[in-house]
Amino acid sequence: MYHKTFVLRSLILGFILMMWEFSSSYIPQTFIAPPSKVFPLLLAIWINTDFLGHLYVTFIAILLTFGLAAVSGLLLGFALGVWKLLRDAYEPILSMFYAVPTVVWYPLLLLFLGLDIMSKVAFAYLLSFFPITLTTVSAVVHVDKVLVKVAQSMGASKLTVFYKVIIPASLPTILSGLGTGLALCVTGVIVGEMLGGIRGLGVLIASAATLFETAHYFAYTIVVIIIALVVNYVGKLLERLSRGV
Amino acid sequence: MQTRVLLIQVGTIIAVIVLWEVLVSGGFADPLFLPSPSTIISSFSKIQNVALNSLLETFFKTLIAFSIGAGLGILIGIVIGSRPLLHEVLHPYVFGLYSIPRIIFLPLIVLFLGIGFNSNIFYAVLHTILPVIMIVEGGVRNIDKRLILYAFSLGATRKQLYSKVIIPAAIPSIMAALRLGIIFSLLGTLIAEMYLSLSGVGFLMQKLSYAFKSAEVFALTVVVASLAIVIVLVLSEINKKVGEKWL
Repeated sequence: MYHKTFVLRSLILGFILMMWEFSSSYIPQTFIAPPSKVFPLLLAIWINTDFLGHLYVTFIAILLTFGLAAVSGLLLGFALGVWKLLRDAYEPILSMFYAVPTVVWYPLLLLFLGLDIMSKVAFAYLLSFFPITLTTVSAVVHVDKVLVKVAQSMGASKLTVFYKVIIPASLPTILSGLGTGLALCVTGVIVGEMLGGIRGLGVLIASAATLFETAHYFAYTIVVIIIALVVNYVGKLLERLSRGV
Repeated sequence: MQTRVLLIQVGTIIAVIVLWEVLVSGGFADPLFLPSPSTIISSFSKIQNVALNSLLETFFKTLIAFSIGAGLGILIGIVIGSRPLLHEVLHPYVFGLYSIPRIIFLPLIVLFLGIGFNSNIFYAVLHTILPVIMIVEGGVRNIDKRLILYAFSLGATRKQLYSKVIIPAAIPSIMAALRLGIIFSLLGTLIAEMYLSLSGVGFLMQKLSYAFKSAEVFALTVVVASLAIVIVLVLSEINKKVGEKWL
């Protein structure tokens, strides 16, 4: 079974690559750059270009956003999870804001914060803050009540219950929320850069596309795809580890 | 309890608006960038005519993209979810596509489809279909295997297996996929309009913000945000009704 799926998967990948190379000899190269051009370029962009500089800007923006979103999301999530009154009051408001398509805020953020990195950070923050917070709330709420009762009956203080019971029991769900949040940070920063920015991977993609440098566009796109896949894989791995599987 | 909750909610919203108004009229924030709530309210009338047409157009596009994306997504999700070999082989590709920020395909779409209606719909469909596939596929795979075994042992044909067991059991995940799908359609349509359209709400917002009309942008943002919230509330009402009927 395992070998069969592996062969089939590779066959599909091979077929896609072949179709890509094949089709590019019939479609103008401004539309599709063939793999034989894109893959050499993928190596060449690292030398003699400012690619690393752009990548660095994107990387910093992602890290900064994730740090902010994770810290504030976890704090608010735990607070709402523990205090029922606050949760009843603010969870509906948070879910409502979560339902708003985040991109509607982006023109405003561009106005407030300018074309620089801060508008991307704010946009990606809005994208990732809500899922992190809401997942944390639901993780804390769904901690087995029996565990809490047992700890309390053995004389644990509120703080001890929080550290020894609530955090460990809600960790797997929280980590999966953080994983989603990180993936959304990547998306948010790149979307923000593509819609308007000065430096960064998204800016490179948008400008390569505008200048019809299709091979460059494909190469940068592949870089983004690799980043996204790695980030998602890390997220899944963390979740699996915390579940002890 | 209920009144206290309501009190906190209303109190918070009023406090934010008052603080905002005071901050702007007190000169702590530049009204060019951060308009006061009163300016925003008065600018609703300014955008009324343009906004209504754009809203209708965007809503229309969202509905089309949603029907195509959700319809295809549910179909593909059921097929991939119900065949183990297909799932094993295709899941990495679906998950891969799902985790890539879809916006990097925008430039390619504009090359092939140009700007306007077709490319907006295509991009919004792309935005909708992947999460729908993921959710429905997961739901179908989580169906109790015994149900399928019983149906088979009672002599159900393949067709009956799908129509009587798999699809009814997947209804909750299909509903969840629809609820998420409409939001993704709206998001996709708005992004597409900002980047590759000359009409619609997304384009209008981009245009107003480039013209530094921040009060109008704010007003429009409030309208679109409320629209999204209404859609979600309506859908979760429908969801409840369907849930009562089926479960």
